[in-house]
Amino acid sequence: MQLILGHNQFIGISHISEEKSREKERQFSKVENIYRIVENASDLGYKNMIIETHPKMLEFINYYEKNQTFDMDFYLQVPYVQGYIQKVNEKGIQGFALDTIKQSGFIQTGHIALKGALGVLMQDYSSIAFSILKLEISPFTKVNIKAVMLHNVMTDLLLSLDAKDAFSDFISNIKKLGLNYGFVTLNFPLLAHRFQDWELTSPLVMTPVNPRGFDMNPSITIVSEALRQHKGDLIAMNILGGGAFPLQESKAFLDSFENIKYCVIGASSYNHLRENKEIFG
Amino acid sequence: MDTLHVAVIGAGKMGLLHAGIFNSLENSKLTAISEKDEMILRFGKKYLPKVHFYEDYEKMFNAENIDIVAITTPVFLHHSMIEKAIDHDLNIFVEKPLSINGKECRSILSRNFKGKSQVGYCRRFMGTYSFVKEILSKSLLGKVNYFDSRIFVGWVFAPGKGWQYDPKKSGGGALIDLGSHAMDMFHYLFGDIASVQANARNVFNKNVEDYVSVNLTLLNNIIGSLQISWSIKNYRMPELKIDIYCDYGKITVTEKYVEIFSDIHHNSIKKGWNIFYKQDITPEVTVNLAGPEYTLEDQNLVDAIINDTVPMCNFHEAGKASYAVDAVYASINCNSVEKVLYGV
Repeated sequence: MQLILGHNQFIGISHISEEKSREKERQFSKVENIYRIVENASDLGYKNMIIETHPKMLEFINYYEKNQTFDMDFYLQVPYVQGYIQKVNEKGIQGFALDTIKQSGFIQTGHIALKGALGVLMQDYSSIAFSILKLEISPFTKVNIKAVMLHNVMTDLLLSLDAKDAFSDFISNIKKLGLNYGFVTLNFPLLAHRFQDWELTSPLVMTPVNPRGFDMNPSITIVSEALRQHKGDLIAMNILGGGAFPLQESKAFLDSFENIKYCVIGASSYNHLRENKEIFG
Repeated sequence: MDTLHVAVIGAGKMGLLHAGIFNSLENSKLTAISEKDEMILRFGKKYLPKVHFYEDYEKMFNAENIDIVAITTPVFLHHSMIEKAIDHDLNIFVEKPLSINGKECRSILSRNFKGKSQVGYCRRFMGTYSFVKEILSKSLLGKVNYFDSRIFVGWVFAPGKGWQYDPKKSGGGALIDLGSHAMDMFHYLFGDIASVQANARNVFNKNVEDYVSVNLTLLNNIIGSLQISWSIKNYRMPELKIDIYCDYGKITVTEKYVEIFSDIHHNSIKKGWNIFYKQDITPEVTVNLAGPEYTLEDQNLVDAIINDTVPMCNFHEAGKASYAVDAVYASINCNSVEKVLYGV
């Protein structure tokens, strides 16, 4: 099993408790502390890491590029949903689009002219959306990106709404950047079913796989069956339920899937990294 | 059973979330969306060709054959939209709070409404809180005597723009936005509230409160306290944490875990410390878009329509949180102990 170092702990996300989230946020408030753990992971043989386009992860990528004492490949999760929601709440959707394009230097004009330009661009709203996405990905392309993964909130929303063309457009836009694509989902059977209906090829998918069925919808049995039939690459996530499940129980469950070659592991210390490597690696 | 046709008013993040869920449940399907924002309309028309889009929800009501309407607009629009939906004999889902104040809730409840209703107090459908509800309902730790609670998030640290910060449109600040969740949870877990005494501070916003402190006395003599704020650093997501002190132990519940210290042994609860994570006590759902609780609340409404049962958080039930919020605002404004006035 190839291990992919997860990044939730570095940006203060814990499935266990908000106290744990804040503890991690404190531990990794300095980018050097993130770098040290990723370096430890590299020393132990971890070759891949998943990150999202969170400001903290951009800080880490910049630090990594500057210091680069080890090699690591990255899976990049987009978009930074939480950040977008906050900005849209503050400024409205048009204000958010306007600000993002303005900040990017995409259109070098004054505010009024910019509004006019936006009005023209609005005729093709999807091109704005993908321009924003491209701007989001751009600062991360200085490192080796193995695939751009669409965040589960977006993937699952678009799957539930049966938005085939949104997937086709995402795929073609990521390909235009010369990058591979993939999807994160909490609803794997729905994804498999839709992609078959839409006659899209089996993509790279990252999805929860754990012995308690946490975030495996609609049920552990149906998800397990669909996973075994999947022809594309699979990355297992939430394998330990954020620390709620015993390692050995999760390991035994994961081993029952011959076609899962990658799994995401979150760790905050050398010993934790080593223990996970010994069991899952 | 025929498929229930669903229309959504307001295609913001909550509107799209419920649109996706209703479109994925076995017995319901998204038919139409009403939205005023031109960019969202264009986006929707391009990517959701099977869905009918409208700028005017009343035109949508007239043109479409709808069974359920999901209202996910700013709160000041809820009352008039609910009234129109009742006129069209629709079943109604509305995001929390039911309306901007208790007066509007009473107006809604005074209507001769025959349909089913559900208000989006989603914590009722989270595994952790429903687990605690079961413990309390069975009195496994004896009766509840006291609770201490807080609902915090780190959202607001500067003057905000938009309807949320205009009390005429939002009804208020952190109290009605976050505190209404806590008030609903108290009704769900403990019962009706007799009186409240509260203080508030407007720090970042001139017109709406950022911090609120409330003492509560319930009709069943339970006493408790609630701290509310949307301006607490390092709270990435809203957290409602309640410490509940019972005859034979203590329960702490959040969105993510339940911790119990029990003086006595039961089948599922051992003497001493117990911890239950949401990972182990969350029910399976058909589809999970932003948390199982959203699917469960929509499923609960669909099931209620099909089986002619009462939804978990109907208008009558959800109105109670608004009456309690009204009493807290009255207490803040008058510096007094205020009774919670229930009923039409």
